[in-house]
Amino acid sequence: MPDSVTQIRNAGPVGSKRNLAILGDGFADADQTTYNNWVQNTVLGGVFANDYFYEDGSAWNIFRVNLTSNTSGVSQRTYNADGTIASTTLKDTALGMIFSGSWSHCWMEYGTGTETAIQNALKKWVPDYDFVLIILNEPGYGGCGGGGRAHVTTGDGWTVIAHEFGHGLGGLADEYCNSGAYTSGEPGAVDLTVNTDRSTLKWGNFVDPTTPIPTGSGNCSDYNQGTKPATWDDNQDVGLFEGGGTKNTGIYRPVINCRMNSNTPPYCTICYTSFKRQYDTYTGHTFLRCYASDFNGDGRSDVLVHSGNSIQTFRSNGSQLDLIFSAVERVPGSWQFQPNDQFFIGDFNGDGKDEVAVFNGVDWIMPYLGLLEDDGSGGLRLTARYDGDIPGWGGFAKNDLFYVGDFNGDGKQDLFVFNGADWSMPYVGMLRSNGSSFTCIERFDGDIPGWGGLAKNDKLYVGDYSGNGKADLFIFNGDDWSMAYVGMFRSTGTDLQMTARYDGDIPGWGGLARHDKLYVGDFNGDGKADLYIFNGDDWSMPYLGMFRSTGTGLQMAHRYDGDVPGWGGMARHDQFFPADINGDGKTDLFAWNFEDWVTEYLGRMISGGSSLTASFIGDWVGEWNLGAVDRFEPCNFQGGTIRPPRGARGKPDLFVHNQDWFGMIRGNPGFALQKIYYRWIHNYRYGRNW
Amino acid sequence: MSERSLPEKPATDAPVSPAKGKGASKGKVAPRPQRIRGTLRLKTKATKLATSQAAAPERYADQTGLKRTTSRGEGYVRLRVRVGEDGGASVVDSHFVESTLVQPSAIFGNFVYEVTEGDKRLHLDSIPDLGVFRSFVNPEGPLEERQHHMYELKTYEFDVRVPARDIAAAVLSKVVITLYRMKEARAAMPAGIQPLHVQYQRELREVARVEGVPAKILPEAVQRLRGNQKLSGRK
Repeated sequence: MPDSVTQIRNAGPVGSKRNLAILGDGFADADQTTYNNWVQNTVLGGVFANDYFYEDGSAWNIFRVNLTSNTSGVSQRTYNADGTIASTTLKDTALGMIFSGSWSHCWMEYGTGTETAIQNALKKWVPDYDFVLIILNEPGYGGCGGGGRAHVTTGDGWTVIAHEFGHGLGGLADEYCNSGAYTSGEPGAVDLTVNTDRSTLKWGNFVDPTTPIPTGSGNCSDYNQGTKPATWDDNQDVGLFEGGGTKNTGIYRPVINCRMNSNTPPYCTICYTSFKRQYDTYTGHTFLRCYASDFNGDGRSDVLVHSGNSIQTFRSNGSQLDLIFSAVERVPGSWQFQPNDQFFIGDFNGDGKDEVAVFNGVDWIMPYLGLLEDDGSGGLRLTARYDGDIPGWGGFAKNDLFYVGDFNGDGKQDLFVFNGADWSMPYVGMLRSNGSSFTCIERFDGDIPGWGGLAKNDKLYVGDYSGNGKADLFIFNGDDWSMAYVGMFRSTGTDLQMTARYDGDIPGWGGLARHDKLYVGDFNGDGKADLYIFNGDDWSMPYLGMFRSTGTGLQMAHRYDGDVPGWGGMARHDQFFPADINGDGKTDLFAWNFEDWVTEYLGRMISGGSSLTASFIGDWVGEWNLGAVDRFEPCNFQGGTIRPPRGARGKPDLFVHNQDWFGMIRGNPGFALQKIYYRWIHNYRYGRNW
Repeated sequence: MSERSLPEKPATDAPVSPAKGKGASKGKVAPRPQRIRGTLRLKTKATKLATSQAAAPERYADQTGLKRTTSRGEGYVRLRVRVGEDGGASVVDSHFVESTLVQPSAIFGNFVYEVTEGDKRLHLDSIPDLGVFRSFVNPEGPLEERQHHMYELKTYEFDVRVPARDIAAAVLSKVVITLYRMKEARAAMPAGIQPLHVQYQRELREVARVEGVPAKILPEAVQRLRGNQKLSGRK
């Protein structure tokens, strides 16, 4: 079998990632499956499936170089007690490495041609490597690391290799004790110190003020300065423990037991944070694209974060988020993530948990639509994919716009799709979810009867305005005609039937106008989706209207001219996010304005059924500095008691996010910041990473 | 600049005549499809589908046809630097890599290199582990083997990346590659814009330095780029 390379993790361009090259020695033709399995199980399924490397997998390209040796197994050497060679048995292997099993000879050594063979293989197969992992087809334990390489045997477990990666990739020091006293100066490594002064301790920001310093004193100490708190976590709670760097005394480590101490625990707070800071640039992670969802059906909103070609999901426990799933490049099935993937969250199979529809019309030579569902262990996998088209739609196109709604009332959410840009006429499609796939059941070409022609700038809004459990459509067009129009289209489950069309005005509104913005929500709690309409552009003052659905049409319930009491004056760039904030079954509005005033304002407009009562907070929500870059996702991360009738879920909370920051804001009874994260979501036992 | 002069909305109970703009009003039925971009482009005729569908495959073939994201010619040079027993350093090899190159925002680890031309930084990066080999701990061995056995290397090599355009435009005799040892790490060490020896006088110690990069060692792609720049320079 000729030599080759397989890129088993494609995280991105080599110059924007770190590149791990894996080379095997002593794997003959018949051993290649053994080699592949070892790499899969130990590297991907071990090191990169746990704690730090799982979380930041998107920083790493991994290349498996498939070198075929002429013989199986590697050369062997034995040493006499005085260090002289007792015997050598050479084998004809790709790299010519020699295993000795002798600790004092690094367990293994290079043969005469090994360095050249490694260099040649790297130059040919992974010319821009950062780190090299060399695997010997040798069942005995042992390994030798350093200088950007780690040499291991198939007898080594992943935790040993993860410890070695702590040195080789993290620059971390050993935290275990062996013998003797440390007598030198301050170590350069981030996880060891000789400093016992709390105020200047290099990991002092992670030490709770109530924790004694030092926390453990004496020979390779545990917590022995006072009583160890019952909630103390030996791996994550940070203090100052004597012993580390192989020495018993005179030097201190940050936690009782880290992966850099005994291999099996996760990296401690200090080592984890050091890794995160080192490789954050290479992950490509940002908080720009976040989607609220409930992946486990516990009633609490989780979050899906999409960055480039990776996704992560974090689960809410009511007060914080924890990483559940991290996928780089693809999920099984397969869906390959790209920067312009668009995600649509909904319970598409009716199991009470959210799934993800994903569409990409930009990054590939053809558009793709996929459906991702629970993989049974907290992750996602592809269950259906449509390449370029779904039968009946006539071809996906770049500007297809998708909307989630259960239009046939079977408890499984479906998709409406609209395209007003890519064809000679606009189209609307109804893609019915069958639980694990979609079927295009209806397509409207250029018109939905009664609408008088779909047009390029039609804007679709989904809501069950008829109250029959089927998601209907509102369509607004303020651009393409001589006047603005609103249409109401009731879903029959397989078709759309227009029940009302408003030409230029909805009675009481005083005239539909070009920049009217529609927000759908059942503001009176009667089970029928109503409409809020806002206009900040076309009149001498901003207006907000509340239009109640009669089931077939709209009746104005209230119009606010220039202000909603308590908001302090509407302004041109007010934005709204419909959500049932107080859990009474009526859809309220979060309001947001960052452009029209000297400071930014976030507001709550609570619906009384036919009117609104507003309140707001300015500039800051706790530690969250409100700003123009902020984006909001109404959600319910607290879960629990707030659950209005008719199965609808209240959304009293907000996820707020921008490039670097992610926040959890409680919206009821007033705004309060629950949690704030910078660059990555991690719940430190004490302290923070900024 | 004129101020916006906009009307007030009529009262909610006032009769409204919708303000009309340019263009047609909607009729009862859709107008005929319009040609856009010169071509009448319609979807194929929709057909009603049977409700039963073939079972989805267990696994779909990979998506194909990813559009190119790196612009042609964008890339960097990877230089292999050898540090000898006497501490002297030299560039021993190089090759061109076609890829975008990320400039790290912070430094960390046990070693850091910086490539400069005068006061201008061309690139820097951190090297967590260099110049030493460690035997793995022997968990079942005698006490002395329950730790790493360390071997310091007399000579060692490391890799340096430089954006191809920058090194092609540089005066090669003024390009300096400096390798630093991290004597004292701080929790956060931003790369900043000043040379490292200015920013981190206390934390870093110079270990080796290459002064000037020989043109002949640069990969062909960069030599071509340099040639083109010289030609355009004369004009």
